[in-house]
Amino acid sequence: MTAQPTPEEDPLRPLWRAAQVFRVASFGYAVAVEITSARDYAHPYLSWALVAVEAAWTGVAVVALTLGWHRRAVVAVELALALLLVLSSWVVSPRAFWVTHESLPTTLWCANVVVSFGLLWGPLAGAVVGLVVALAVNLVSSQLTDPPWRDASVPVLVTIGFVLGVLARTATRANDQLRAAVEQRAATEERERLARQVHDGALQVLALVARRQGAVDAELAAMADEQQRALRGYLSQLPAPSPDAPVRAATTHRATLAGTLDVAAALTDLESSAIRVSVPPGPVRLDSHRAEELVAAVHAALHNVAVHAGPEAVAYLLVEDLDEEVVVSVRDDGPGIPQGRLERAAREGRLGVRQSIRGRLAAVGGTAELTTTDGEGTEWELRVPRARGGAR
Amino acid sequence: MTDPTTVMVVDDHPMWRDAVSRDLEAAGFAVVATADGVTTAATRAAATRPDVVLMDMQLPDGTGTDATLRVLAASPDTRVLVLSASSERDDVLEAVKAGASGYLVKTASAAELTAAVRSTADGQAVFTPGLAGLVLGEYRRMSTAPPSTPPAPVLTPREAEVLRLVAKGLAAKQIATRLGVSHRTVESHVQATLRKLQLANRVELTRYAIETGLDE
Repeated sequence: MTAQPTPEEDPLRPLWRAAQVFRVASFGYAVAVEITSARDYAHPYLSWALVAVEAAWTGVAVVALTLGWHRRAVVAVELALALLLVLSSWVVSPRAFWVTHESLPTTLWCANVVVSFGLLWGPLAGAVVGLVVALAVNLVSSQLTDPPWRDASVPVLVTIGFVLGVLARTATRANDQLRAAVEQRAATEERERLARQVHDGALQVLALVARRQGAVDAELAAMADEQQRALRGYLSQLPAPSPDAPVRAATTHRATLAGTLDVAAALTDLESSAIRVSVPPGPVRLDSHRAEELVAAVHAALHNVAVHAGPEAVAYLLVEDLDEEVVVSVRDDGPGIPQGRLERAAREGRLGVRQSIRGRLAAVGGTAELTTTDGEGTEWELRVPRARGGAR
Repeated sequence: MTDPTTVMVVDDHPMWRDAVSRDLEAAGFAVVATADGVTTAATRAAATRPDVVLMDMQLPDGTGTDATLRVLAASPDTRVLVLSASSERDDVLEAVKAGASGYLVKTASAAELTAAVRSTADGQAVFTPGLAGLVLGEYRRMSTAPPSTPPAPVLTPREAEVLRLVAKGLAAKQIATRLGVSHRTVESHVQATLRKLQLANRVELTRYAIETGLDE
């Protein structure tokens, strides 16, 4: 079994976790700035109190956002708190200081709320909040008189908000697609499993009825037997072979792994009292296009058996997986083709089915060979090379 | 007069057991026991030592492979013929590797069934084209798998040729004519392919038992 990717319950969890690492680091930076600058402040004790508030909030946010508790409320409160802390620069330090320095006591720390908005509400919300916080920072340092883009905060914070928003959207979408794919595959597998069970169950009951009633009511036994054959034919999407029944050259759509088809499973479905199928254990995968052409060619060959080999003839399918190529032989135990008939048909331009089988195989780089002996049936050998890169 | 061939029917479905038993009795076999699960199959095989066991693949207390192993352990001379639904092919291969001598789909006719039980009792493998395809594929899978100790069994070119023809639905006589050999030779090639597979499987099981300390 190959390892299957499994969808995450919360696809953004890794991003939130990484964001909290940045939060703790940026708080460390804010403390370092506080230590070196506090003596220049007008109110050093107040500034330390505000750093304590920042510390407490950092703790709350790290826990809540990592575990996913009330993220929306936490992020909304944080926006208000971050703006207030940025603006507190006016109170804690003299004007001469704050016009030339980073906003206090937040410094880098104010970028956290921008990150959170991006993750939570997407690129637009991230960019808008980035702009709001950047303008507040500029307002504090009185740079609003200059065009704000002169300062690095605006482009940096807007970009952070936008990029994280895009990242979060992409991660969520990828996870949704993965989840949908996994669900669809599970549903398909379950449907196939149920179909097989119903198939086997119904066939066994019909075989049983045919067996028990044989002595009592021959007519009922014959009907059960007939139904059993009809059910097999129906399930394989191939009408029970009769000389004039048109064969629907449709493939059963058992697309499993992306872009590949299990030829063995598709052909096993054809099994009936008139068609005996031999396959290797396990799936025989070909890329879908090659597989569909091969299965269609097998249907065409079976059609020929039904038309030409007589009602008693049995067709034998053998599927072989030779790594480099997949070989399917279709043999019948009918009377075979008398000498000269093929040549005559070719002269009269009546080689339709044979040409179509050869054409299908040639189209996917394969070959189709017909051997026949008078009185010994006919045998098609259909060979399809595997796709480059080997879809096994 | 020889005694009639004795048969045990293992299936969890009472109606199926009755119907199959009736067909067998009508064909002259002696149905000496029936069983509805792995455990009952093992104890009754030990008590009755049937010539042939007809084995279902899905039992309430285990798989047909488990039951085959236990029946053969309890009664080594018994031959197991697997009777399965068509979608259980891979399970059938496991049962055959565990020692079953052949398999037949459940939808086979009463005549096919009695013929298969008769050949199984005679010591022949009941090699349907489907089983030949599975065994052929299994040898091919082993030949491309990474080398192992002991080395995986391989088919001789002649054995591979015979198996392919069986898988294509040719009867032993037709194969003999095509290859210019006797009917007996074809039979022995077919038997050899199964025996090698079963032997390798036994070696594998024994090694596993030693590694996990189950042999004590």
